[in-house]
Amino acid sequence: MRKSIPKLRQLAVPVALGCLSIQPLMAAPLPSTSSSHLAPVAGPVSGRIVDEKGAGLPGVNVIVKGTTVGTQTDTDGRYTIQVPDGATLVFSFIGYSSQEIAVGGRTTVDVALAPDTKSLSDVVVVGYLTQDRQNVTSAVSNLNVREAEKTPVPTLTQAFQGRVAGVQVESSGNPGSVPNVLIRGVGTIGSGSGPLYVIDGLWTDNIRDLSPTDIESTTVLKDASSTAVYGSRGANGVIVITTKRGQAGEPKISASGYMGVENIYRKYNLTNHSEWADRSAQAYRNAGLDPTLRMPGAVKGTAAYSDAIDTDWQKEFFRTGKVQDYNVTFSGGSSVGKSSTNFLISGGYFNQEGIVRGPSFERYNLRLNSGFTRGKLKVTQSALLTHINTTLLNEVPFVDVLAELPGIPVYNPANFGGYGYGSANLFNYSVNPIGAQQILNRTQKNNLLQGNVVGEFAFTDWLSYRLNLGIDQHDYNDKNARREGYIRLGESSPNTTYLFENRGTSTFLLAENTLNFNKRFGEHGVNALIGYSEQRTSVNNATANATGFSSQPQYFFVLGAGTNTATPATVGGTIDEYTKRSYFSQLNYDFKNRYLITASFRRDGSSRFDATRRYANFGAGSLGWRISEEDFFKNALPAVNSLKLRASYGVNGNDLLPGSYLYQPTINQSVFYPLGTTQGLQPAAIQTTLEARNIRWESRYTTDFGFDLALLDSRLTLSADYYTSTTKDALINPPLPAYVGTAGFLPPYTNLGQIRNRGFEFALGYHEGRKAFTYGADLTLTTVRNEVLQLSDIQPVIPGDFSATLTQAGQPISRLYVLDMLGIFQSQDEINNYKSADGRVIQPLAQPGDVKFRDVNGDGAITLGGDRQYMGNPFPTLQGGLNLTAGFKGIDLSVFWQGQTGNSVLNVTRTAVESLYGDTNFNRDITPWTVDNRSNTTPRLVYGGGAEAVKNNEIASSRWVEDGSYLRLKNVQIGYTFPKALTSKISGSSTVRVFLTGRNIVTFTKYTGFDPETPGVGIFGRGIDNGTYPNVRTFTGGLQVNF
Amino acid sequence: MKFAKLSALALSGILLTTSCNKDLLEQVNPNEPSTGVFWKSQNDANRAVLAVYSGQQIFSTYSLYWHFATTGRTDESFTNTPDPGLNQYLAFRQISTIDGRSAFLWNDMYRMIFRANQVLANVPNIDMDATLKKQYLAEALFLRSLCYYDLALLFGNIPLVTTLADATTRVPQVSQDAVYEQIIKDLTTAKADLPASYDTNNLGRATKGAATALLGKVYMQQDVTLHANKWQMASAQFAEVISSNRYSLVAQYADNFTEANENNSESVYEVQFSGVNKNFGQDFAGAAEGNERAQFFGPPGIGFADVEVRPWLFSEFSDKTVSGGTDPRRDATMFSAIGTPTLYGKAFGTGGLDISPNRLLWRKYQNDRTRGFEDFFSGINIRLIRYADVLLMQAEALNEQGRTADALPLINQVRQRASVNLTPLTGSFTQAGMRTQLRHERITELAGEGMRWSDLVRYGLLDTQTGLTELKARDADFNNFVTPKNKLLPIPQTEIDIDKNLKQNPGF
Repeated sequence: MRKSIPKLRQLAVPVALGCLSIQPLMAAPLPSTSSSHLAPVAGPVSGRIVDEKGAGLPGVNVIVKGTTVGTQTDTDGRYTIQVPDGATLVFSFIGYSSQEIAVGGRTTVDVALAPDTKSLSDVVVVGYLTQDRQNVTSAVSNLNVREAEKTPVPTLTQAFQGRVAGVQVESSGNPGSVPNVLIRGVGTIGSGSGPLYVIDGLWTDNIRDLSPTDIESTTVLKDASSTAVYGSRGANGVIVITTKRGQAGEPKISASGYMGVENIYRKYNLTNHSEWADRSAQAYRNAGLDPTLRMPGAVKGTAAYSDAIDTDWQKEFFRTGKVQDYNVTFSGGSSVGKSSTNFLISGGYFNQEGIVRGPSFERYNLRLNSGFTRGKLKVTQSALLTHINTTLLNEVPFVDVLAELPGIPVYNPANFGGYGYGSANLFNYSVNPIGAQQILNRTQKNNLLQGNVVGEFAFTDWLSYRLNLGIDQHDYNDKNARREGYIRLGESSPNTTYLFENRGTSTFLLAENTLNFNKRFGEHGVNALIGYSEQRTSVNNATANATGFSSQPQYFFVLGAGTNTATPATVGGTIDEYTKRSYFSQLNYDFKNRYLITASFRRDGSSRFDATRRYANFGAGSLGWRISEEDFFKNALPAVNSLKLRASYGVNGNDLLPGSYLYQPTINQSVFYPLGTTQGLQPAAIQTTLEARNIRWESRYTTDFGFDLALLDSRLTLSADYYTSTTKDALINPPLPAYVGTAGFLPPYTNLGQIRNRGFEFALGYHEGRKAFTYGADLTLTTVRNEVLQLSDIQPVIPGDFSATLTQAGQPISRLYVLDMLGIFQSQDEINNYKSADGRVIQPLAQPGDVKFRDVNGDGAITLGGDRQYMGNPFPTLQGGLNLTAGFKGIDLSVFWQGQTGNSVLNVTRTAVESLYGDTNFNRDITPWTVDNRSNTTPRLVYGGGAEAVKNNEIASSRWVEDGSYLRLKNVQIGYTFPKALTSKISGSSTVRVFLTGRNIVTFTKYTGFDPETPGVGIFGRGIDNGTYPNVRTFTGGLQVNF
Repeated sequence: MKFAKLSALALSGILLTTSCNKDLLEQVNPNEPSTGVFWKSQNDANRAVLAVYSGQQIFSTYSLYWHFATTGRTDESFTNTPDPGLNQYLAFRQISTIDGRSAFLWNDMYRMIFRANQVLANVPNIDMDATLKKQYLAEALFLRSLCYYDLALLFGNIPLVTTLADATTRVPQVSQDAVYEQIIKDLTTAKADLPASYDTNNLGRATKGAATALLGKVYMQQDVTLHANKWQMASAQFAEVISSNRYSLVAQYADNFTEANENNSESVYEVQFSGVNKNFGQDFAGAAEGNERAQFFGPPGIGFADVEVRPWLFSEFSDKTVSGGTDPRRDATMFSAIGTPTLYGKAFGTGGLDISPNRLLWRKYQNDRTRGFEDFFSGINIRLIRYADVLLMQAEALNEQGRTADALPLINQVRQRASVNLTPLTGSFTQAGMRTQLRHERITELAGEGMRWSDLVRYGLLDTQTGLTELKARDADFNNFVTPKNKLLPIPQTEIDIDKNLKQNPGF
């Protein structure tokens, strides 16, 4: 064994230099032919290696068995090697079955390698064990990484959208934003609803910065039997990610990159200054107000009116964004007998500049993966180092860009700071959306280290011990700076400059010990594991704020440069420590590879609960039957290649609370009151928030039935699942009545309520790859029915944002709950005749042109208290994706459709231009009601929305509820791979592919806003479009090279 | 195999070290003390009481929103604000039940009540000086009463929380009258235990005089049909304050509204503000300790001018001084082209101050005497109970008892403070005549100080068509006033949604 150690050292040098030069790598192919420590040379052997079609296979490893002597085939598949007497040659190549052939005195050995039918994707990581895909009895889906790579996305989770049944992804176009990912609906209200990500064994919450090109495979674990072994973190599903590793053989270099442009694909049609003035002045007149007093700039023919300035704010604000992404990977490895090494170095750069000036996202990635096997010891290491620069979007520009008046210039030298905003002539309180991106500057610098080291020791071939030590460390430095200048009407402090800085570190440490027993006893296969783990998360942060930054001679935005002594700099900071301890076990059993059973158990303790409620037990089991292996089935249905029936049941938990000390009542010591003749600040202290008394684990129980079917030589595959999952003791922090006295603070969590999600998942695929023209289609369909089964008696309803949503038993979480607009009053008679059963005029103060609402409770008046009703579900009930692929010779095409239906969106953004107040711009596409234009959907212009109780502009009304369904041509990529004959001249086995991609090319929707895909903010903000950064249309072109 | 053995040993070593940490799951909050270690010492009790006082500084209580509710919505004021929500709120146009201006006032008054109830529940168990303990409890009762007075006045029927609340606390809604009964009970206790005065370091805390005056005010505000002797009860309280001889009118009327002359001899109770910190928010180190009124009431170009003065008020200052001059309180109360040709160092109507010469703007509590700008962090204390108010309330209480002649010297005391010195009232008044005179005296002395709304309610002007006609003549906003609806603010919609036993106020 000692002999191979020098090889390691030889390897280490190029690893260290890998970023500087690729030359050392090229110069040190492993295994090396230069090693000579062997038996006497008998002579050369040569030959040609071909694939199943008879074509020469370049890059095949040819090794003399039991030695480090080896070589690789050339571009035509030919090789020559010196062999000793009695040698056996080993031929290996990725994706093909290895072959061993004794030379037996021959001088020519030709080999045809057969494709390996059991490639990596056929082994599935489920919990701590791997299983052959054919034996998996849980609801598990793989993302086709190679296909998803054709969708160039900033972050991997976006690639799941529409491609994996049961996974809902909602994202915005905001550079650097983290999409919402839901697996099988929202199973929790108060705690985190995102899945757990396990990257090469490391647990993490966020994979935004994982480069999609580094990923080998991803598996989505959806049901309890696959996630229960993750216990407290399994309730929202688990996404297991394996990153790429080096392979034995000639070192490889692959590089890829793309760049392109992005644009907003849809704008509002807004009135110009003259049109706005007509409408605005009318809105005041209709309210009985004199526009010359309140909005003089809208009154034509007066000195105050001028349409010399006519700003198209959307045109000024939007621009063409840029996106670029480059990656280069170096990998290789050696294999000698039972020893092997492998390495992979990959570097990446991603940069996205938004469709508006300001927001941007820039990422540098470095991945180092290596492995080492020597005899019974195997060590694997993975590490990702990332540096990120983000510039955030400021204020709510996607609303302000609509609301700003056309008469206001973007720049106005008369204003402090030089930006235009509302004035006495043109009342408008919008923030100048362009000024906001320039006066304000919010940046985030992050450094991320995600990695782990795994040591495995095989005592025997059926018993092994594994230690997994991981770290996920995140350093952040956020800066919010403000320059001098005003960006909206009404700002008045003379010096508005400040710098707020927030620095900190979040460190997650993981230590897992597992003992694995894996052995076949005849027809019985047993794969069992026990484990123990500890986790610790600590977050430390410090904040500081200084004011008074002078622009002379330039801005020095460092904390020490704040000159405002009247307000001294302030500091703050917090610490959060969170620990977990777990005992777990997992068992897979099969009989004849036909009857399958799995079981798992985990006991978790969390520091987030008090000592009496700290531990909880989670567990699950599943059964599977590969009925297609039965003789009677084969005889009856020979066309079916495989059919597996499966069922599972289990429970797992969730403790993703927004803090680690919520159960502990504490005293706020940062309270002060001035007293005495000197008005000196006296320290005060009191409890300001309520503790989450008696909270315990949230548990999610899932039952799953499914089958996996393959037909037509496995070209047609179908997987289907039905599940029902019920969350009990759901951790919720509903707002308390304000009279309790803690309004404005985080309400305490309690275990109240039950939530159920039910749904079907289908994944249908057809792939024809036998001819030159290859094609395929993958369809996924997901249904989710979300329902709150129970809330506590003391808190039977949970109101949401804008008082426009309500959460209540028997309804989906956070369903829209608004007044129902029946139409527009066309005449005074209609108003007078709109009466309750007892004869009261329901909207006596309305005038023709005002909104007519439904008097739901029949009390003869329209009130929010009595007349709101359920109007729409913020969660889609049906989502789907269809990916079509085709290939002919070097050309490949991928077309991806994605859509959803069944959900509603409350379009708050639209209120900016359709409230018909007069103080904001107007949507030109709608015509306000007049006697000459009797609309039944758009009310009259009236400042303030009309007299008391008219509620024309009440946000909590169906006037703003829209159908959120859409069908979108999400992605199209066309690629061309140059013929090998052409590219092999560059280097032995190179491939060169160019591609063009378009994203969000066409969207079919009734939604009138910028974009129907609205992630919202928080659980209760789902389905509310309040200035969401829309998804953008992107066109990119790129290049991939492998050699 | 030696290598393998060594590595196995090393691995099991790591296994041992990671698994033997017994207290792994016991994480005590390192950021703040737990309630279990607090509430132990006299110092803890003092800090807790000061935290209740601090609740008065929140922007939705006495920093700003209280001023919108009690000054902005009265006939003293009107608004030109382009902020539609505020515009509607101040003009009775469309007060949605989700409107933040009333909801935040409600929320933050109850936040202060929660703090007071913590003191009342925990301080009795602290081993400390017995006198001081009584004082702290009395201060908490006083502050809670202050909140409940404003909540009952503005919202009517409200939940009455008098015990330590937790997440499961749900209390019934009680009538305005029942709230007043609770306040009377609490203030009666508090005034017995509060000191008459404090040393210079503690100036600003609630005194016996403050509790007594507030008690008198609450008696006055009760429904006379339910409390026939309310005027006697009120009068007795005011008499106590007056006869204590601790209070006197300051020579300079304007000293009641500036930062330089806080906690003076006329001050019965005031909320303390300081301009030292200029960071928005509450309850963190470096948070603002100032009030926002000056920014929102300030003239355009300086502040937001959200609340302006109705012209009739300018004319109301019709009384002449002994030397024949205009009532000097007018120009201390409001900015006007006639009365204050310069403000903030600039000429009225010019110099960047975008003001029409006809406009009238509030001057009380503005910082124009000391600086050329306003911000959100004014250090001027808000005087909630002035001795002048006590004198006028006593005059009213005496007049209502038929002791009209006894009211006269009290009124003249106010009219004749050194810097004001109006001609004294003489002659005999009928009870009704004195009632009218007192309304004039109160508005000229107390305009813009947040007393007007309770006066309008007490005068009954919001209940009758005659009253509303009178108000409409002064303030066109009252054309939008619907009785009885606009007499009360709507209870926040979320409260109604969450606690289904709560009933919304009529009309909302």
